Amino acid sequence: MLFNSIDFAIFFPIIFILYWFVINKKLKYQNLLILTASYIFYGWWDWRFLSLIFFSSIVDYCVGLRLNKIDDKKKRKILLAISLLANLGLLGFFKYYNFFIHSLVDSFAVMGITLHKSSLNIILPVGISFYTFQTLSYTIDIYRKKLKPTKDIIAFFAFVSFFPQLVAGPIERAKNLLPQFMRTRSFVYEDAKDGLRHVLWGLFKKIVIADTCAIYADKIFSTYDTANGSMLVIGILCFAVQIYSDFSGYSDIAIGTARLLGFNIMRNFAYPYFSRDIAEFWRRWHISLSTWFRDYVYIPMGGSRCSKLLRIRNIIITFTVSGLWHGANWTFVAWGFLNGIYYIPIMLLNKQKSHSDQVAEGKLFPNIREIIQLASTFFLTLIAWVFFRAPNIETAFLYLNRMFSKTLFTWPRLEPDFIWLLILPIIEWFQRDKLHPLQIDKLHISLRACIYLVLAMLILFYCDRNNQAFIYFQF
Amino acid sequence: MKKFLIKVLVYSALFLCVNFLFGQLLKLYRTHLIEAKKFNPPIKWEEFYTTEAQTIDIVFIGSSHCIRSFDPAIFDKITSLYSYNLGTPGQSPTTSYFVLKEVLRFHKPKIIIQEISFRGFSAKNQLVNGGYNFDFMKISRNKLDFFFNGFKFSESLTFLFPSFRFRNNLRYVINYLYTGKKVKKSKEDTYKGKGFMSRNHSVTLDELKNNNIYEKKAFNASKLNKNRLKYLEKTVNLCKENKIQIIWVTAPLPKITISKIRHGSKIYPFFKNLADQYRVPYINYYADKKVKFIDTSDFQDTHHLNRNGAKKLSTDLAKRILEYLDN
Repeated sequence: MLFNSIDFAIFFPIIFILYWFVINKKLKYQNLLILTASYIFYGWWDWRFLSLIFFSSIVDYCVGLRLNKIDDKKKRKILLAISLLANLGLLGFFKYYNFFIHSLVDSFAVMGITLHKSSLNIILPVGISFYTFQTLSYTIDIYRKKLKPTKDIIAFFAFVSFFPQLVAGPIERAKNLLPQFMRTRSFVYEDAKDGLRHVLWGLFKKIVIADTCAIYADKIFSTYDTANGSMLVIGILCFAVQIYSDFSGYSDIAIGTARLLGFNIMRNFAYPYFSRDIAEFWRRWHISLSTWFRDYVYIPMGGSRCSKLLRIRNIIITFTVSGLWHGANWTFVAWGFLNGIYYIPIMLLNKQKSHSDQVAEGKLFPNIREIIQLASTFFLTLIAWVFFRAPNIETAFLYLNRMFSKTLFTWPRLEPDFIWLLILPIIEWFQRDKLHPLQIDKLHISLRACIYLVLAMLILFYCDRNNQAFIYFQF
Repeated sequence: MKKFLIKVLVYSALFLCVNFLFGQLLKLYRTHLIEAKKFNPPIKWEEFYTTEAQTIDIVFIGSSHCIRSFDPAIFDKITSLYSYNLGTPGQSPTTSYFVLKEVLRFHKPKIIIQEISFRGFSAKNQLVNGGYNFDFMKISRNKLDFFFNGFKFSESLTFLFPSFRFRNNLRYVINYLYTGKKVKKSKEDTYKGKGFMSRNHSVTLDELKNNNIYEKKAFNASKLNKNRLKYLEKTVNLCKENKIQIIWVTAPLPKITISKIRHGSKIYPFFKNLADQYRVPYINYYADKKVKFIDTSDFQDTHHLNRNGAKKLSTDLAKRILEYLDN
């Protein structure tokens, strides 16, 4: 079920009413309802893949309980390996089997050895990368004795499959989300109000901005070999805005719907394009995934508490694996690797946290130095997005080659829809100190009502543009 | 919770009101902004309702091919009866069924000519073609049936959101508010009365060959919309119940256009087979060579007859249906 579908527009109010009016304050039933709703939500796409969520949940539930009872290090390691094998095995099979087989055959072909390609027609289960990582964090945290396992099977299953963030995150930590399933939720007006605003802003970003930019990004990327360099710049700008609006829009709706049910899930985006260096960008972009990789990949490898060479290795591995997490294609690997390369100088200069505040804090506009920093960071991200969006590495290089040709200085063909490329950053700039731009309590009620109505009308006007699925569903 | 629900309700009501008012503004495009009222559905329904009850003998239903092929004036002259064309752009068999039911509320026709075009069974958009009729029908039980059965649930929902339904008119309305100019349609395209639209223009060979909208069209019997086929059968049954002779007619297409449709040769056998099954007379003007239509003088575009072509077809068809009247 898509957040931007009529199905969800009917589904969610029914769940909301049942949740708060029929079984209000009965914790067990609230969790049971969430679990049922989550399985319906996921099964709407393909009920057969519910078995994978069920399998992941039962394995980690049992492993978690067992880990708590055993002190023997060897046995604990075996138990953790079972969980890792089960979860990463499923992920590897469904997401990477064909990729690895093809890559293996191709690399043998380079050596002159011909192998038979035996690819399988595998459907990628929606959201598998998200719930796999979420449930993995549970067992790893228990293994590290940072978390106590739960005996409440309903609560645990509901935590793994919690529908607002099941298919595209944020990837929640058990430490934050699971305890919320263990205590009675009661309706808080301020939370619900903010939840609705989150949903409205998320829908606006997805339906009005992301889906509009998608039309032009797709068009320009498919005709890159004949387009002018200036048009290719617009193409990658459109994609940058598309992927941000699409994914952060999803996260906003997820956070909003969770809030409406009395849950607080983590922030996933913090205006990433207003970053002054790549380290800051990664603290603001897909926060739940970046911190996951930091805690479960980067730090266990030694993190930054080792020699320079090892630090560089750790950074490159972490970023490359995070690229591969996005999809079974060398383009994602290249994208991750490139970001790793961007990160190394900052790390070597020990300036990872030099921009931990808000850009131009307390000021209306940034100064010249900040403008240069913002522009250069954005430029680097744009270059990386070319690899992310291109169907293969060769196309990415051809795209860049053509973009930086003489035609870069020709006037591009501008479309009225490009106005969204400006409107979104303008709105976000002036609201960058807020959790989301619709935190507008200080405005007069009539002005607020006008803003809500304008956004709702825009969503209505744009909502039939192919009803596109969220990009991150495929990851 | 109470405060939250009240606020949600107030905002929802406000949103519905704004959407409704704005939608009405956008809707005006269809009746007020097209120059010389060339958008025919509201005109033909208005004329239909002002026609004296129990006077219409022959009714034409179907798509734009119906509107532009069957000239009631010629039929009236040859048959000495009263005919009326209720074809509308893209009218699907589903919509035709409810149009016919609306006709039967006021009239007892002797003959129904249903125009059969394979695209009416494959085109997805029921909302637009259905809306062309639904919006201008009088409130009745039939209209309610049309609303609940003629549209998919998601399509029915859009009636609650006129701003969404008529969103494509926004640029015309803005243009009108800004420049004061109405939307111009072809000067030659004129409403001739009784639902018939006509145009003198002839299509060029270049347009037929190089700018033909049928270029990528294909006929695939297995992909025809089953629900629409069901409504075609329902229309036949409705006529039988009311002892009305129904005749299926497929309007001619330019030879160049036919040659561009993939598996075009399968269209006639498919509908002929269906007609035989339902015992409905079927005339297909591009399979039937009795009347010769010339690509560059009888068609206004790649698939519609012009005034000349419509005259040829109407004269022939009117003569042919005389035998059904005699029986």
